[in-house]
Parts: sequence; C-alpha cells; structure tokens
Amino acid sequence: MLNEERIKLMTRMASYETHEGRQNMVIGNYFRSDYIGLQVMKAVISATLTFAIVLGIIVFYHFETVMKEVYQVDLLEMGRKLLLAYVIFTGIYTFICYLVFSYRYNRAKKSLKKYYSHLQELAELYEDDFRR
Amino acid sequence: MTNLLVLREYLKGIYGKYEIYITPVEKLLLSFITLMMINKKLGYMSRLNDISIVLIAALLCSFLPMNFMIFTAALFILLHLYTFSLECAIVVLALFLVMFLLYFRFSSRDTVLVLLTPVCCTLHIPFLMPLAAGLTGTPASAVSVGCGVAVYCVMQYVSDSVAALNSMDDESAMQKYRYVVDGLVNNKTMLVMIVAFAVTVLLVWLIRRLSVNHAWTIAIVAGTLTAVSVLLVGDLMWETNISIFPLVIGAIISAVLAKLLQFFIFNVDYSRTEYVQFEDDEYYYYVKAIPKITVAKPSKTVKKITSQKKDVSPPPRMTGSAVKKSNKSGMREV
Repeated sequence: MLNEERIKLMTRMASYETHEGRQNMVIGNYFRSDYIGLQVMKAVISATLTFAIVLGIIVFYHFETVMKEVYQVDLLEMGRKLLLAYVIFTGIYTFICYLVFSYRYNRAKKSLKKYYSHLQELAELYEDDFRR
Repeated sequence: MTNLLVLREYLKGIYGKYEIYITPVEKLLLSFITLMMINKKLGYMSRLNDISIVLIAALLCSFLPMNFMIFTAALFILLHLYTFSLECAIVVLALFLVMFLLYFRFSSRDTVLVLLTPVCCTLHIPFLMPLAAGLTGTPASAVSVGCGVAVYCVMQYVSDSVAALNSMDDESAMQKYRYVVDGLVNNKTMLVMIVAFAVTVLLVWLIRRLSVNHAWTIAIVAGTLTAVSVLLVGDLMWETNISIFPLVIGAIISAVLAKLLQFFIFNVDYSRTEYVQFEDDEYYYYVKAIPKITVAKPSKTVKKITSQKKDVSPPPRMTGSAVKKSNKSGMREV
C-alpha cells in the first residue's frame, strides 16, 4: 500500500539529490583538510596563472622600454619586487578561497547530515511497514 | 489582483508540468539572443553572422550546461575580435582568462548573470540584473554582475573604436595594442558602472533580508535610486558621458520588471502579519510570520446535459451528419 509520508520524504530526498545534493555529496567524500587543501592548491595555481597573464600584458605594453633598459636595471631588485607582489596577490586570493571553501565544506556537511537523518527516517518507515 | 494571482498559479502549473521542455527552450532563446547581440555589436567575422551558425550554436547550448553558453559567447566575441584586430583579441582573451581563473572557478551558478547583464545593458534596462541579483542571489552575485558589465563595456569600447583602430597602420601593432589596453584600463564608464551595480546588489540584498514590512519593495526602490545616483555622481566626477533621460527611463522600467519578479517569487500579505513568541529549553523565539498570498487554481467542471426522451417509440433513422448534429446540440460545455 502507498505510504504518503514515505512518498513525501522520498520526493524531497530525490529533489535534494538532483540539485544541491549532487555537489554536496562530492564534497562529502573528502576529509575537511583534504578538500580545503585541494581547493587552496587550485587557488595558488589560478593566482599564479593570473599573475603571469597580467605581468605579460604589462611587459608587452612597455616592451620597448623593457628592451632598452633591461641591462641597466637591477635585475635582483626587480625580481625581489615582483616576488613580493606575487606573494601578496597569491596570499590574498588564497586566503579568500580558504574562507569560501571552508564555509562551503561546513554547509555541505550540515546539509548531508540532514539528508542522512532523512535516510534513517525512511529506513524506519520501511521497517514499520514490514512489521505490519 | 485576483486575476493576476490566478494567472500566476496557471503559469506555475504550466511550468511545473512542462519544465522538461520549457528549460531547453529558455536556454535556446537566451543563447540565441546573446549570440545575435554579439553579432550585431561586433560582427566582423561574416561566417559567424550567418543565422544558421547562430541557430546551431544556440541549439547546442539549449541542452548543454549553462557554462557552455558562456564558453560559446566568449568564443564568438574572440573570433569576431580576431578577425578585426589580433591585438584586441589578445587583450580580451587575457581579460576573459583572468575572470575565469579568479572568479568563475568557484561560482559556476551565477553564469547566467554574466550573460544577462550585457543583454539587459543592450536593451537599455541595465539595472534589472543588479536588482534581480540582489533579490534572488547572494552578495557574491555582485562580482558576477561586475564581470557582465566588464564584458558589455569591452564590446562597447571595441565597437566605438573601430574608426580609430582602422586608421592605424597594420605595421603599428604595438600602437594598437597600447590603444586597446589604455582604453580598457582608463575606461571610467566601466569602472563607474561596476561600482554602481555592485553597490546596488549589496544594498538590495541587505534590505530585502530585513524583517521590516515591504522590505522587497523598499529594496527595489532604494537599489534603483542608488544605482542612478552613483552613475550620476560618477558622471559628474569623471565625465563618463552618461545620458540622463534614457538612464532614468531604463531605471523605471527595470524597477517595474523587478517588481514583477517579486510578484512571482515573494508575494506576501503584510496586513495579516502575526507576531508570535515562544520558548524552548535553550532559546526564546520572537517570530514574525507573514502569510503568502495564494489563490486556488479554478478547476473546470464539464456538465453533460442530454435531452430527455419523451416517447418510448424508436427514433426515426437519421443520416450520419444528422446524428452528429443531434449529439452536438444535446451536449453543452460549462
């Protein structure tokens, strides 16, 4: 016989699985440190590529000046300045990513906990039906 | 008002019933409009201007994820720019890569905002997207709307600078490159628009979350006024050449459309607000409950009225058409 309560619960769970649940389940497969570590690593790569692109645009913009003065400038000092700019930029971006992905991980875990409690509830409903 | 609510229920019903067909059609229309807009604005590659190419691309976008639509739109822009000037294409490619690497990596849901913001700007209702993003999204939507504005301004800048770029020799590639970079970096209109839209998204989001009555309406009005004010102040400070009359008209239309959006997603009856107070072991609760305005969808009933037989004798034989006519007259739909 149809159990209305069970159907409602299953519909809600199916809707969750197809929408936000899909992403949350992927996140839920990781330990917190693994997930955030992976995202931070991706953030460092993204920031590095972005820095390289912006630097490339600037160097190409001042190409003639760079070619003229390349032997006159203190390359070590220039390198130090560039490294400092890179570290600051990457640090800020990675920190923002760390905050965003920590928040996302906690939210996904909370939401999955609720989903598993629904699963348990569903199992109990099936058990009750079986006893009857 | 009741008729509008009934219409809303009908539309909800239709959407719920045919969602599987409506969503691809929506995506098809959105991608078609976006690609046509790009072709109209840039349109340097004649092959891409062919309507059949646009239709094929739009059809592909209709059943693939939303991010593919962004990719297609970006590809169209880059191909047009490549045909026009390699230097432009390089600079815009760099801009797109920076956007993709820094932001879209962790906000793939807001991609629709990046597509719709340039479309709305072209349709002269630029404030619709920041208002809609503030009403339905999160503060992070401000970045998506900002990226959409950047894409629109880049297209606008390139289409405005055609004459200047064409007048430069083919040999002076470096000069062209500098011209494009200068134009984008010193584009005050873009900067002012990004700031105005971001502030609007944040303000609308903040106000609509307040528990005051008519918070959504207040948010729409405040957001529209703020956007217009920031643009006007920016115009005064940096002479961004924003024409006031179309701006105000666009702002009013955007606000009306945002109000329509509110009607569909947040329609409550403040006159029946209830304040309840209760407690449990750990907390005291002060709750404000506002009922939603809902109307039951009227259901159609069909009554069948048949003519009563007065005599018991068998009816005379009739031809096929006569039988049909007789049956028709005996039934009435209510």
